[in-house]
Amino acid sequence: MQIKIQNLNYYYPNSNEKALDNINLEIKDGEFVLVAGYSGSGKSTLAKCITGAIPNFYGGKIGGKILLDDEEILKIDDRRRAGLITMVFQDPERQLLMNKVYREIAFGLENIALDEGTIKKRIWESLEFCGITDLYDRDISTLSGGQKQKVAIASALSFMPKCIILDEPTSQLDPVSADEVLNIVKKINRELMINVIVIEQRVSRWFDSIDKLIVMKDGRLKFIGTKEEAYKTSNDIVNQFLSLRLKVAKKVGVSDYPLDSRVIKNALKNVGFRSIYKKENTGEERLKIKDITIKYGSFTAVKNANFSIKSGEIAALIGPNGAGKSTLLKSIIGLIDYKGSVILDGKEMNKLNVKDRAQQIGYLSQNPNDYITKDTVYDELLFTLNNFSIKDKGIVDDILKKLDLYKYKDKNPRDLSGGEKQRLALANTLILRPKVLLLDEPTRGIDVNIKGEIAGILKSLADEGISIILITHDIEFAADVCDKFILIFNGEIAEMGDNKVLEDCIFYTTEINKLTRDYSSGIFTYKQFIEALEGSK
Amino acid sequence: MRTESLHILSLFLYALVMIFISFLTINPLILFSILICEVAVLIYFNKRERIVSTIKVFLPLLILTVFINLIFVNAGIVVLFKVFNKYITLENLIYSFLFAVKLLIIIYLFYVIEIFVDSDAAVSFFSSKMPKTTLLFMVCFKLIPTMKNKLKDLRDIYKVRGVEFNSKSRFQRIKAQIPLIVVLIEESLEASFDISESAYIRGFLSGKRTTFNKSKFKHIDYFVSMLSIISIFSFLIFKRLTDYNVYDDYRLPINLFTFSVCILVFLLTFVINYYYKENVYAD
Repeated sequence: MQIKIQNLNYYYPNSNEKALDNINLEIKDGEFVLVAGYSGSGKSTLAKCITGAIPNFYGGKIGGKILLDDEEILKIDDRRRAGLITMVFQDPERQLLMNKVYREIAFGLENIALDEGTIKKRIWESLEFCGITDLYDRDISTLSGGQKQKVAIASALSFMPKCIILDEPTSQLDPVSADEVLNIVKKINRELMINVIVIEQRVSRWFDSIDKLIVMKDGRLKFIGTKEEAYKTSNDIVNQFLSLRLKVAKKVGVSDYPLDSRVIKNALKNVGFRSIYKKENTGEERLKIKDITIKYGSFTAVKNANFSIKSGEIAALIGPNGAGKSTLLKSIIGLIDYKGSVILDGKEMNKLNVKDRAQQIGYLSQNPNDYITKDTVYDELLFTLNNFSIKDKGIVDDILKKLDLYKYKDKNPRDLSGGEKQRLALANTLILRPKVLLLDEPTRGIDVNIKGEIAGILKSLADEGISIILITHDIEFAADVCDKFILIFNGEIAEMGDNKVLEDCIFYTTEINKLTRDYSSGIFTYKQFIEALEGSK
Repeated sequence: MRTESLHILSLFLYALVMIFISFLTINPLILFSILICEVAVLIYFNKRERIVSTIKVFLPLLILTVFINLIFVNAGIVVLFKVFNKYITLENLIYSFLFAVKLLIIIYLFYVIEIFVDSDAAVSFFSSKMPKTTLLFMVCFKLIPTMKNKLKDLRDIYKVRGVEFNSKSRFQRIKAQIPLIVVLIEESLEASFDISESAYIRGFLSGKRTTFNKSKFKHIDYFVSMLSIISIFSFLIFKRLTDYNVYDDYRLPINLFTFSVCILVFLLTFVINYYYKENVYAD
């Protein structure tokens, strides 16, 4: 399907700010398009305009035209529109409506009034295509995040639409599930020639599969071109969204778009690298986890976990979903019963309840919105402080200043940006001046800029002597901020140590390390790559 | 293999009959017949934990009902004891107890309906008849399990933030729930918006829908519907004869008409239970 967008402008209801500003775009039949941009750049708004949800569902003021095969979207009736173009959303929990998988797929097809035989055929075929026929009559609540997202894709595919838009379809998934989703989407585009438009902040995974890259900023299109053009351009905004593999290739002078990593690896053969050493942490032992075992009935979630971290050390718990990482973290703060010992500064913590432990160990869950209940940023911190009967209110200002939130102290926390909310959640934890911080996926679903902010904050907290244990699927982030890496599979710690642990990993290492590890040790991030490269000059 | 369950309409009629009778009478024999039927179904389908958990909620409710009734009503002849110049009568106690049982019947009825009705089939059926109302219910039902899980996570987060959920003071315990409710309400509003958007994108409310796996109104459905209609009519016809006014006479109203309603209630539940089979769609 050919999609033409002409002079598109859009204002959300009750807003005087343009969410989309003069968008002109053409997507050819069967193209695989990646729309990249930071949070608030207008990517999702553009997608909603293409589906017709804007303005039909959202309202607001819209100008310009969107033509699907030369037919204006707003003139197509809802039923035909649903069959032509559909969308898969970021959070699988918030798009699946029915209880059983086959009913979920049937739901959309019933809406467009297909007959029973066709619905049956489409259900089975879409499940077959996505490789999930075994989920046919499974209860959706029993599925993993990855399986739910595949059901959402199968449901979209069952319409046999001309275009599928996916809004950050992998941002809530672990790397294994994310790769599986990518393969299904690629197959849909290549085999069925259905247009695919993927909206993403983290582009690395998708880059090799796309035909066209679109970069947006502040509601405007900043770049439209093929991936080859994107590779060759010197446009700064585009370069920010190039995959790390491509950034390395560019840096070492690979002139044409490298079709795979072998080309880059060959180019790296001729490059000299300076060795990279990470400063060893010489702090004293802060937290010791001794023989922790956690059972749910007959199922053992964590088996005999033993490790320790020093003061000022940052450790990453890495492993697949369901490996026991979050369970282990919750046991440290006392939210889950366990056998074994948690020892902080040589003192046994087992007999302390959650509230007593929380004064020494901070815990931050995945969603910063869970920490917002009050009307001002200041009151939010005061709430935590009052719960612990701490009289010294001066610390609120200190923490707000430290996390650059002081200017927002009277602002409603709901109006903060994603990064600011994450900092506020962190402030809620730091207000008790903990010795240890436990963070459950602090970078989940956030853009590169905010990730950089969080990395900076964590490093400065570590410099002050706070020990940090974090769970992450983002190995790049972990390699940047962590000193220690604990690989956990099936409830058991498989290996731990400094970044050497990642160096011989097949899966749990960074793109850059896979390229460079044969030539130099200790290079995991682009920053480290540049550092090693500059040293060699 | 594909087994057919009952049509959603006949099950709906059954539920209506039970609710209707429970609301209109306070006859202990009829009320307990319905309650026994419900408990039997729940035990048969291994839902004992639901019986127990509801009883735990029911007991304080029973005490509250008795207490409120005692404050406002002084009727009755058989005086049991006297508290603060108030006569506590047997009739008063029986009335309060039966009133609370009515509530228990309604709660158990929802559990029973949950067992018998395939919610997806119900959504599919009602979406074709009254799509907007169904969407509203669908969003609510979808959010309940999600909110339940979320509540568990939030309790963990707020325990770490120093909130005491097990405080000795009831007031403090209620106050502790406020931040959780704030987050839950905000989250559920956002989630309902997203779910509705997803439904819109997939063509919901775009016109008349078809129904996949359309359930046929079978002989058994006609039988159950007829039985339901007979039950409700016999109840209404004999209502004056089955009426029970505890304050006039607290003794059990043993008569043929009461028994006939009880038997119909038992028969109706037995027939549905007997014909109910798990839907197996993997044919």
